[in-house]
Amino acid sequence: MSDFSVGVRHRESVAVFDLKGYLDAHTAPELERTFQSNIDEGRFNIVVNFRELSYISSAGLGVLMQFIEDVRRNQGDIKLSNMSPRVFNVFDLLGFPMLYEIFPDEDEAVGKFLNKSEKLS
Amino acid sequence: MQLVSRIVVVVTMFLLLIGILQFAMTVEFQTVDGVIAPDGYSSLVGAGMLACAGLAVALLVFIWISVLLFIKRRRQTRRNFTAFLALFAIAVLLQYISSPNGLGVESADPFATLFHALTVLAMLFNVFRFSWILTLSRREKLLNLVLMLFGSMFFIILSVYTSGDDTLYNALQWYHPLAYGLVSIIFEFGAVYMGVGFASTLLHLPTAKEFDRKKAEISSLQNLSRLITQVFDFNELAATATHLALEVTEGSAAWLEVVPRDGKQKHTPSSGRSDCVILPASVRNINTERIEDLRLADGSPLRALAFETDKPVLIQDFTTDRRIHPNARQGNGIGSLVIVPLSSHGGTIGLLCVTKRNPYEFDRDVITILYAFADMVSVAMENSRLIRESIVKERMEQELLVAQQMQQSLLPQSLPSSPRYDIAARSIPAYEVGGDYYDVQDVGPSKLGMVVGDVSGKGVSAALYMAQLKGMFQTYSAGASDAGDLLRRLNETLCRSMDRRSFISLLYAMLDTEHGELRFARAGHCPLLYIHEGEARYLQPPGIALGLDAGERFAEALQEERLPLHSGDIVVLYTDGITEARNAVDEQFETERLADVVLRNASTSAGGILDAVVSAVHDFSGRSTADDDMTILVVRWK
Repeated sequence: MSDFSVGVRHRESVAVFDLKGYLDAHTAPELERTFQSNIDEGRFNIVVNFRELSYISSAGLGVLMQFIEDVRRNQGDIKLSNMSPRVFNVFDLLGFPMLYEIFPDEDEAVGKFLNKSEKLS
Repeated sequence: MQLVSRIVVVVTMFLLLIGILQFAMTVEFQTVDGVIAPDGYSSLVGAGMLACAGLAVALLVFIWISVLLFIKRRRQTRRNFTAFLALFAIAVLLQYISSPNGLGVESADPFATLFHALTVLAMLFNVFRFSWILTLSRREKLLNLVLMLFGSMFFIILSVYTSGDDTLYNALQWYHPLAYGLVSIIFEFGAVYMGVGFASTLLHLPTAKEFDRKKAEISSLQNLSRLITQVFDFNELAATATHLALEVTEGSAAWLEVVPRDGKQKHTPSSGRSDCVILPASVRNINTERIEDLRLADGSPLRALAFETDKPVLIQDFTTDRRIHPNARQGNGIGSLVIVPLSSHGGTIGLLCVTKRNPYEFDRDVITILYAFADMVSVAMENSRLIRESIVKERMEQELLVAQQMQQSLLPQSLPSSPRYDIAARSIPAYEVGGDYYDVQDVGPSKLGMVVGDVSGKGVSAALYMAQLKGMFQTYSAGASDAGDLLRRLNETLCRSMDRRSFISLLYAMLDTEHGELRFARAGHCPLLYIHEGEARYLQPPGIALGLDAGERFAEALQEERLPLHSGDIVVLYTDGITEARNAVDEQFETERLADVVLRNASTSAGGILDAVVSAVHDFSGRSTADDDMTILVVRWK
């Protein structure tokens, strides 16, 4: 019954997670594993694409919070993109836009990472 | 140990016998006045000892045999034995009467001879009672054979000694002619009994091995059926199952493979081979790596075959069978292999594998037994699974009940009332307890604090955070200078104690009942619904949920809003359980519908508005149970 999946793509140094379906307490562990394995591999530039996500519960939000400190401590970030109005509303109510960068489009989010690394190099 | 002690007894008896015989050689008798008497003092002592020994041995033998005769007694057992005893007594008496001095044996009375013969016949009737030999193990049967052989020889020798004109005969005759008759017949009895026993044991020997196996089978099936009721430890069950399988089959190694049940995939025959896992607790006399090698070696079609046909797969000669990869055939101590599927009503749930050291060691009987055995293992495993599931379910239900009770006890039991305002609140828990919370309390002179919050997560952990929140709210709200100040203090404390993944959205409103002003701040919670002169507005001042950010950002983001209240104004605080309630086509109730319902009922009391909202949500979702907690608090300014 749990129709949720995470696909991982790599765009240069950025890992893009494509979320699909329902992200709730039952499916959150799958996203958790995806984050953990990327962080273990040293990928700290992460964009989460919400284009095909239809629902997110507080447990799903909890996963983002679980890893954000770790990622930022390693000069990385978790950026969010392509949220449907309904999903954005959940993030917005909780004040996430003040804590996470949320972009309408994935390219912008990835670009932000790449520009930053260009400037550094 | 038992064997050693028996051998010691036999050897000792033999040595004793030889000693007595040697001593008996020195005893001399003479006939005085037609009566036999020992010749000299040493012969007197020797004759006495011999007679006593003869009587003692006869007595012991008699008791021992009669005990053996009454094993598995039937109705006629005692009757036969009594008849034998009667004949026995008559024969002895007749013999005594016919020759009271013991000298007339050769010319015995024909009656005495007849009764003696009848007694021997009665012996034969009695001694064919050797059913106890059947239940002996093979080793015990062999031992019994030896004992019976030596015993019968011993008694034959003794009978010969007592019947002729020999030392023992003389000693007993001298002691008392009755003693002679008693002892000689008992010795004959011993010889007959032992002789027949020897023959019986000999006849039982060929089937001894088979009998042993049947006995092992029965006892292990019994053990297993007992095990079915003790299934709380799955690993223990698996270990016992293979242990008993080895006992039944006399196999060299055994293990269980099961289809893991995580509830995700239903088993299909084609997927059977790869998703079977070895149960480490069940592996006996073989190591797991070797099994893995075997699984690879047969490319798993054997497993698939066992799964598909639900019948055992037998490899009689592992070293040459074509189904086994050539590289894997040798050097693993496996001569033959049988794979028996474990099936329950839901399909095949696993495989029981048993190996033997040599080829062609599994005969048809063993396979049949193993198949029956596998059925019992399946039932036991299935029972174990069901019991574990019901325990987990019960525990979860228990936890749910605790959480529900906690949640209910944290909510205020009564709400304040005042001529200036009218207030109503309700929280409707969902089946899976969420973390909705509301509270209302006086926070200063003519100041009323109202809070509505939603703790992330469910169950006991959410209820615990709620309890913590209630404690903090009641402590801090009185001292807080304004709504924003209270939320900052709550956030500071909560960030220190809360799990990183958890957070609380909360809206706090402080009603100044004297000046009719509402000050409120929002920590990531649903906006506040404000109805003024027939117009609904959602007020959403910026703010981050509690527990998300421990630093400055929370404080920077948080803004308090002030709202002057006019007569007839309505303020509604709620949780997302209301606006996110779904109907059959997956639409949400949304803020618009909430505003509509409140507007339409704006002229009624706070309680009336609340009831209208709750029934509107129920009507919308078409169900009386919700997916999420729903909480609503309505204040009407008079």
